[in-house]
Amino acid sequence: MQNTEAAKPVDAALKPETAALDGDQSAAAIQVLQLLFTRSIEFSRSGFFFILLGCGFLYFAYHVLYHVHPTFVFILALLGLSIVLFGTGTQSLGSGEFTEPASQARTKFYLAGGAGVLAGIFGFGAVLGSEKIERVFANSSGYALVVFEISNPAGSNLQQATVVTHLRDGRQLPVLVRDTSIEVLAPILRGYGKLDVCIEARGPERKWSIEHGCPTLDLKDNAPGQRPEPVQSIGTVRLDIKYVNTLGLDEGGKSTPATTFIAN
Amino acid sequence: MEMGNACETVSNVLRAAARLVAVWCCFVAVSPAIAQSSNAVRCSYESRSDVASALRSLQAGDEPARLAAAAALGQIGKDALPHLMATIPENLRHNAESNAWPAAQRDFAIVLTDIIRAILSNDRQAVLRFRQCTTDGIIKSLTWAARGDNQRLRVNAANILANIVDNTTVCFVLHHLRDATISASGRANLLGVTNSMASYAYKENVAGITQTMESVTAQIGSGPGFDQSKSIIRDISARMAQSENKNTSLQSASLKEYCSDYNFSAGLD
Repeated sequence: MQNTEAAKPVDAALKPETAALDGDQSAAAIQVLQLLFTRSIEFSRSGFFFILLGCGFLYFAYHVLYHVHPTFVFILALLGLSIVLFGTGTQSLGSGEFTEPASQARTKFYLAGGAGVLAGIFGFGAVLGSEKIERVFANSSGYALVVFEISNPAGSNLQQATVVTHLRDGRQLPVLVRDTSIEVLAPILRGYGKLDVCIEARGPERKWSIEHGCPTLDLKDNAPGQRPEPVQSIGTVRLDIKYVNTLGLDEGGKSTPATTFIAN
Repeated sequence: MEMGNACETVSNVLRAAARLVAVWCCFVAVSPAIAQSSNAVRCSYESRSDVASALRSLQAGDEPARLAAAAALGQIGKDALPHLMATIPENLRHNAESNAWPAAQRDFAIVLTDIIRAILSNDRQAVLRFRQCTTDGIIKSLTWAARGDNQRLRVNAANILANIVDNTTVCFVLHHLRDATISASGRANLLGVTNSMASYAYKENVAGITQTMESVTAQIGSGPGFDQSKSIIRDISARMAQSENKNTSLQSASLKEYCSDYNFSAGLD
């Protein structure tokens, strides 16, 4: 109790000093904030800021690469690159001044900055190469259309066939049976030049078959207008139908010309 | 005492007689089955209990048992052929309305022909074994099935015939081809079967085939359709023309049975 009472006058004496100290601290804080604000403004005008901002755009373009339309990715990447170049100091290619010695008139000129020039070039390129841009910035994974062209001399109805297609790792593939071909959509990654697709088909009542096999296909880019399917690549291979062949044996077991027999 | 011994003796004699009668009855009951299977094919073969058991499962078992039996018979291969062939005349009726057969009989016929077709596929020895064991009854049954209205049975039977028909049996096929009531599918099948042996046809069969092709051409006419039949007829003629045996008689080649003196004017059976 005694200590508490004794302490009161001491606190009272300290109050003015504390108020003065608080005022100094507030002023210092404001000064710090002002300094930070000023520095921020200065930083936002610096080349390094634009480099970071440009990198941010590039990272964002990379981040949304698989989720948005390729054109948007292209714009983000273009913008990011332009801002980075602006930040590195290529914002101004140069300026000059013409002055007639006998005259007071002066002519000043400025060349467009590097980033502006690049943006212009990219913009011009975007107009010229709009079809290719989509492929350049397209997702790195997609589908290849694999076309098995069937050699079908007897005109067997392919639509009645039971077809099984799969990749070498066993993944089943969706299949479309047309009149003269069997087509398969196979998932691929960008850069695939070759692909193994396994196929086996049987006609009704086993009248004919396409023997199980995994041919290796050369994939080519799906050029605009080539195929309507939204696929990156196309591969084509030709397969033969195998019919039920008779063995061609005469009464003595001697081989005779075998016939291709198609039962109905 | 003597009476007792006499009674005992009579009793023993009666017991022995009863045993004899029982054994005889068993023999009588079993003997038709043995005779039937030995008459059903022309070759001698070793009776195998595993084949007999699989055949019973094929006829009476549920679906998994039937599949297992079919797989087992396919594995046994050509050794099972005589057993399987012996069941053909019993289970394949001599008419083209196979869809009207009792369902169990039709299903068994389909599975049976499935197995035989698989065994014959790409096996020269099996084809020769089938020919060695075959009879007119087997060929006739398969020919009816190959022109029948059940598609699966028709395709199976036609594939079997295409491999096993030769100069000794083609006349049965030709006889059916001359029947005006044959279906388009049946005609195409039997033409294909004939085509498979045309390249080594003997003199009598060349004559038989030529007459039959004339008959078939008259049946299908010159109108549209029947493209497959017309194409096969052209192929048969071309193959027959190249036959090395076309001027040799069946008799001189010791191939008298069954086509040497075949009566095409008789009714189909």
